[in-house]
Amino acid sequence: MERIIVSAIKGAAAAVQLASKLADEAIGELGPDAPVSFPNTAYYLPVIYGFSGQKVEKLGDLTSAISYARSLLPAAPGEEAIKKAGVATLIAAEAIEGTRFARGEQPELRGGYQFNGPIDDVRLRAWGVQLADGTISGVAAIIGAARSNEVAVTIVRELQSRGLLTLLCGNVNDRSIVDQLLESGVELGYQTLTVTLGSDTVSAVYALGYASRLAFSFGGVGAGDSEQMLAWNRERAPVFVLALGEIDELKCAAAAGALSYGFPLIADTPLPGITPFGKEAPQKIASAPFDEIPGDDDVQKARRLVEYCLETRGIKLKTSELSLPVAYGSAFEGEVVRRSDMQMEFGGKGGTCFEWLTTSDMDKVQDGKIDLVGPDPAGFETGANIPLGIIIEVAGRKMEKDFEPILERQIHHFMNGAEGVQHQGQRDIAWIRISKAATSRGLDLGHLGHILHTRLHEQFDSLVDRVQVTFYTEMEKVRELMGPARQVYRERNERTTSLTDEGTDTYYSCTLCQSFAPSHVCVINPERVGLCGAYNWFDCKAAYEINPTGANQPVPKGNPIDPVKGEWEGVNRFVYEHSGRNIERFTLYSIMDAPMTTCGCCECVMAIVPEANGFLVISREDYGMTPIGMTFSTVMGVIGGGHQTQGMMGIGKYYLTSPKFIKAEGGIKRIVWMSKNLKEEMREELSKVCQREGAPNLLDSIADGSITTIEELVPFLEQRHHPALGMEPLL
Amino acid sequence: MTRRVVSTGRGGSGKTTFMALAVKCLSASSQPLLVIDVDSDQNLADMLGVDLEKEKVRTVLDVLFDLQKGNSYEELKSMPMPRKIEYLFHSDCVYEGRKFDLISLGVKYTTGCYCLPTDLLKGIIPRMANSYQYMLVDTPGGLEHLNRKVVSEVDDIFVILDPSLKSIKNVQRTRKITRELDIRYKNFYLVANHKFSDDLEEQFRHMEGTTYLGKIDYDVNVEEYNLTGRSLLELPEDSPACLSVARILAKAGLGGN
Repeated sequence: MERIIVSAIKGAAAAVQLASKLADEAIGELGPDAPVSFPNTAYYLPVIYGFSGQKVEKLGDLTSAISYARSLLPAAPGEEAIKKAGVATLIAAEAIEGTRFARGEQPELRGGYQFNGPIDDVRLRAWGVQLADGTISGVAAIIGAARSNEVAVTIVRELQSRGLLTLLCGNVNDRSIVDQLLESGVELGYQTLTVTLGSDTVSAVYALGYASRLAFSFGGVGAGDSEQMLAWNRERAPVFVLALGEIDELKCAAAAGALSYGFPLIADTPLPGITPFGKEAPQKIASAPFDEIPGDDDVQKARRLVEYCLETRGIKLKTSELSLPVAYGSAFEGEVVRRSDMQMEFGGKGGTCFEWLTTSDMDKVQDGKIDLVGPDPAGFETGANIPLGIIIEVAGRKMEKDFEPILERQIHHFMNGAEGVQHQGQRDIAWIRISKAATSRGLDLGHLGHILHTRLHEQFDSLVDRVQVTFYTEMEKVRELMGPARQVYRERNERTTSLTDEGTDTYYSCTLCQSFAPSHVCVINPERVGLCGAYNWFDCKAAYEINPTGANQPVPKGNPIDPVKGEWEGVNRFVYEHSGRNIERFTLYSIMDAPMTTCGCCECVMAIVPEANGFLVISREDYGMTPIGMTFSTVMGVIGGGHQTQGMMGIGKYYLTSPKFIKAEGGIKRIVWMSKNLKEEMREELSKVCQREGAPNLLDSIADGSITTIEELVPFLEQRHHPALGMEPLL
Repeated sequence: MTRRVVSTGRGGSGKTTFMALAVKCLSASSQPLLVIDVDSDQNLADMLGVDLEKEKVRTVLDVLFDLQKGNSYEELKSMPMPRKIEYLFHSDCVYEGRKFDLISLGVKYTTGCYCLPTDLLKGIIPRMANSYQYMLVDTPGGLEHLNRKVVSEVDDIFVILDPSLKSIKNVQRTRKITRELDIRYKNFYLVANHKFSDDLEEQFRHMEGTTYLGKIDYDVNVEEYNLTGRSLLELPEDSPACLSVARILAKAGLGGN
């Protein structure tokens, strides 16, 4: 251990020296005012911001950050020394990346490959819910290079199929794991949860920056509050560092930095003073020398290594019982099966395919029964379009008609998880392709049935006791069964649009994000979707049935206090108790009086524009400036992490279409500005809302991203006679 | 890894012809090929002998326009927007041929807003391209429409030159635009069309930041095929234009295996 600490201290000193040299050179060439920022991210240079509270915006700012790092450099080894060396290294590394950005050298371009660099804010927020609910089970930061391409691919595939987000960086003798994966044709990017940071050790700092930003965005941690930030990460962020290949002093120092976040280091090499395969958990530094890992070949060893990493960080997976001839995991969800690669197709253009999940009596459903009625698709010629009807019958004492669409909606994700299977659409426009490669490995309809059966049980185990799947492949039969299925689709559509807040006494809470934002509570009613956009009232109701002690609890409305603002006694009581007594009351239809709090993953934020007597709506996909002089991220900096702020709140975008949308302030007519992408994407729905609210031309009088100042906004609204200007003053 | 190739040039320079011949050349190796037509003239499909209307393939903008207007698609109503668009993109906008797949962006529509389509394509197209060996993009002169959101990272940019001094300016402007739009590339290639004289070729041989790859030879067949609307894929292998494009591509390390 002592030797590791000494290495880390040396590495830290070298990093600080390098940072200082690079910053001085860059300042000399570009001047101290040259801007420094990581694109599409908030919180400045987040590691520096977290440790010192300093907002680095230009090259000149780096000087004091580096001085701070230098002041941390320890002289002698010790428990405190390794921490300080680690932090100093991270600050230096971030300063180095800052100068590289200032010079336009980041994100790194290497051999024609463009690295991702820092993870952008849209991703960070969109992945928030998935991290909170365990869909993303953890984060693996890999540094270095594996002993062979085969080992690199196995490790990454193994992590993908276990639902981990994998961040890649570093090299050994100028060979990086990223090179190995690229050579092997592994798809890298946000879509496959496999993100490349950079090819040197310094770029590992982006992983720690990501962790810091999680704490700011979801944990409500403030600038410079490093104790809080580190504590938040230790307790809540399931991250580990896997070092592949030789560990030099700089890697040692960077790993020391990760240790202070509570992220353990696992090396695939022997480490001085560390017992290989130590079992005492939790461990900070672990060694699993690759050659000593039990296994017949490198692939087996690589798999064991991943398991060992997960155990070391204590990451528990929702284990799946799936047994398939192809790989399975959320990383395969975006995969496209080209026509020329395709063995068979169901539905799609000119084809017929539907999927229908329905509730049956217990005695009519035989659990695990998977039937094929009609010709076996294996007998069709390559590339054939085959009619298909999928009927899933489920039975369970707690199963309700209302839950059917929720379960059915998952078919898309369940099937897409299989390598070589592409699923598009839903209901009677379902469209499935299976690749030649998957077929040649033996994948058939029976396996798809097996996936549906297993995954439905896994995800909805307290709702469904029995699941039976039948595939129909005869055109006549498919058409015949499609009739009743369509009737059900129609009924469902009518049911979802007809349920109102008045029609129920019970709302549902969602405290899923409390693992991230401890004082935040969502209350979800039929006419207001959760602010992440992922959970509506039906989903919460189903989730409660599945897990009565889970994050979604019934909230009895109780007596109304103010029906216009949407305030109820029961809701207030619930929120007070479940926000750690932080929030005394909140309203469901108002933004000006006790609005709902915000975690960090909302789809949009709203904020008051006093000069225009209205509000603006910023989409989280909009990085641009708005007329109030704040971007999405700046507004989130104010309200994220469970704060209640008059005139600002986070919303799910479909709340915009609800008749209850900020009813207290006058509804959609108060919207004076909206992110362009949001306006375009929801044009169809919003036009109808404007009609309904008696302002058919409203949408065209709402400004968008082409207007970014108040000076432009007000005349724009006046010219178009925007109704907000004539409404009761907000302030 | 997918090799991402873009061709551009002034109107009438022959960039679309070059692209069609590149498709012919690269599809010979039967490696998967994705062709994207971003040019509003949309005649790349014609040159490749694909009748999009007959194939019931629609342009991306067509589909998005309908969607924005709220036309049809009753059965898609209950799907969230991104899934709806992904579904329509794959079902309506992709021509899937024996030798290549093709997507046409379409002409710009009246409201003139490209934000929505480009924003959506940003996600869908790069992901789709991952399943191919080559992605070939034909863009209008000057790259204005090669929005960085459609393709921000490419391997090769081919600028097809016509014999005029304006071409020089065009090359400079194109390079400037790549910087402004933050389009990153590995190689910036210049290719002369058949009207070039030897003297003029000389002027382009040593332009800063570019590599001159040669000239497409005059081919009477190309003119005739284009006139009669016959697919350039049917050109004889040994016709001069085909041979010169193959030679040019080989210099850029494309095809040939």
